[in-house]
Amino acid sequence: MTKKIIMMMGFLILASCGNESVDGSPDEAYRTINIEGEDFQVPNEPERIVTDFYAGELLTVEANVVGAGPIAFDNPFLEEELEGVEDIGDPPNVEKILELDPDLIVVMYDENLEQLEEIAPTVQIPYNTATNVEDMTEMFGDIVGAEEEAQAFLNDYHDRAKEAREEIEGLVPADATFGLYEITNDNELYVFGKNFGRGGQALYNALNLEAPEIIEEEVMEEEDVLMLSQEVVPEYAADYMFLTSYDPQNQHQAKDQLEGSSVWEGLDAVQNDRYRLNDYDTFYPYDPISVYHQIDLFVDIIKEMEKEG
Amino acid sequence: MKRTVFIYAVLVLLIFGVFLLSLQMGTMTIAPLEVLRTFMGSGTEEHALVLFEFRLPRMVIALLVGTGLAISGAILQSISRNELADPGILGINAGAGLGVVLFIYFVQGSYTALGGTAFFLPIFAFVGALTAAFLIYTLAWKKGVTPIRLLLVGIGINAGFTAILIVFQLRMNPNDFMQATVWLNGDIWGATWHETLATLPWMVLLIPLVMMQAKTLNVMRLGDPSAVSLGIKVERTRRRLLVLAVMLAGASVAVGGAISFLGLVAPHIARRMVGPRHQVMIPTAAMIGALILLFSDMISRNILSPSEIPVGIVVAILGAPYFLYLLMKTP
Repeated sequence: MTKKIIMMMGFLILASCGNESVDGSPDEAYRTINIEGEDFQVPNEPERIVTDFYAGELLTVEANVVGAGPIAFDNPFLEEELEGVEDIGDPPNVEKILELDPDLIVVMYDENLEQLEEIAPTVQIPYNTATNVEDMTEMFGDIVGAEEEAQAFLNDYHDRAKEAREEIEGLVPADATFGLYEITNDNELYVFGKNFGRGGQALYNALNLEAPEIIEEEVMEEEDVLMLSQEVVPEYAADYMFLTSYDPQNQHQAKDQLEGSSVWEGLDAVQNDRYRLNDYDTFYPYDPISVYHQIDLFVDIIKEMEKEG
Repeated sequence: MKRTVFIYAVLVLLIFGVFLLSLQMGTMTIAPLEVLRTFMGSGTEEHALVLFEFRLPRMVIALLVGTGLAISGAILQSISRNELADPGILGINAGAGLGVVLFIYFVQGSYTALGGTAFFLPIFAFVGALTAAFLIYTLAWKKGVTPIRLLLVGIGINAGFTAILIVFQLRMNPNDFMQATVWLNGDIWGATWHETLATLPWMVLLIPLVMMQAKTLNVMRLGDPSAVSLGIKVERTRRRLLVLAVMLAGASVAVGGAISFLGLVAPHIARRMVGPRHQVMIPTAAMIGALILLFSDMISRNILSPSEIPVGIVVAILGAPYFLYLLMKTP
């Protein structure tokens, strides 16, 4: 009962904060932030945040996440931090969110924005608004009022990236190229750029490694993702190749087929043992925390490939 | 007559029952008494929000879309004199879907911010659906349109439009693409009063127009020669009825996505229950369509909670076995 009353009071306070405050004071707890030209009203110190796809980004700046979309729970790097955090379902279940009594909602999609705004102040950040770890971290630091945490994370991240670059220096030739690919259960083959998950941030930004020219021109300067016909794989091949297999049923038939194909087996990277299959759940995420950990994973793989360490 | 009244009464009661059940079921369970209290205006704000802003709009949408698709299917089955016709199979849903996807693709560039444009969506769905219907009718024309050609050409148009849909989806940003796919599977989650209000006028306008044609539909169902001998201008009537069916389907698809099977199944069940007379069959089909969609929506919201299955998939799961049964029984 007490909980209900508290929740109800919380709701009433929120409701009264919409435009005009009842007694003038609640507005001081709010501030206006501007993201890509759009203004949002957010609490100064959000304590219960709900998000669809931004759990990792929020946790990067040590925000208090209470509800997240199901995909966050597949992320191995967030496992500990998401303990006790509730799954809000996909598509986001507004009733579940209401029960969590959030004071801030941060979403990627706006399909039920109107309803979410009825629950709590809602910030909508479309996919790809920030395109690298630095901008992403700073943006979320701004949203939840955690500029210091954001800076601390970035310092740590930059230190780690520098260390990692030094670790692999000399291991790979200076002109070596790296590529990220994915095969899906529907037998679709993709190649990725810097910011479409799969470790792109870690590989190309943090470790500062090169992509083949064709990937740079046709993927990175375009949509950051490109569907490939398996026949043209050699044209998009790199000296070092990493593949993820998207297959919710864990059958990986498409992957086995690709790996067994003569086109694939004929690739230099495969023949020289410079190809690895990366775990989907580990390499899919692109939030700063995950990217941070992916740096280490890539360093380990490269060391292992070059028989060092 | 007595039987008809009885069936109407049963259907109304069933809809009412599912409606009440659906109102209290969800992630947040609200006891019947609380529901009542909230409706009387003395419930908690939280319950009011859930009931009035989250659940009611989509339930009303389910009723409207179910009604629209069922009536559209009933008309199409009668004018094509084929029991397998429905707006999904004939490509009218695909046409409406294409209209909406093109709108998203060209006008908005993304799926975002659709909320504010809810009122425009039906228009684009209409244009798409009418284009599909126009193509079907024109291509089926060979000194008049025979019902079987109408159906076959419709199936062809459906395949073509679905293919174009896929091409445009692939050209979309992958995230919008995912959203569009969910929507095209038939999806009424996140429905707000905006969408409800955008759909309601069309139903209020179109359904009486259809009912005025009920007697004509009875005659059309007998076949072209009989209809001609009874003094009906067959082609003109068929065109008029086709446009009505298309507009009903378009308005439904605009808010509910391409929900398949509903337009097929509802008129069938209705005919089984009350016979083929359209004065009775259409209202019965409408109620059955509304009932099925309301029920499916309740399932789609609750079975995988907190996640949700697109309602179109639930309808298909319920409708597919019936469809197969029908195919097996058709000689």
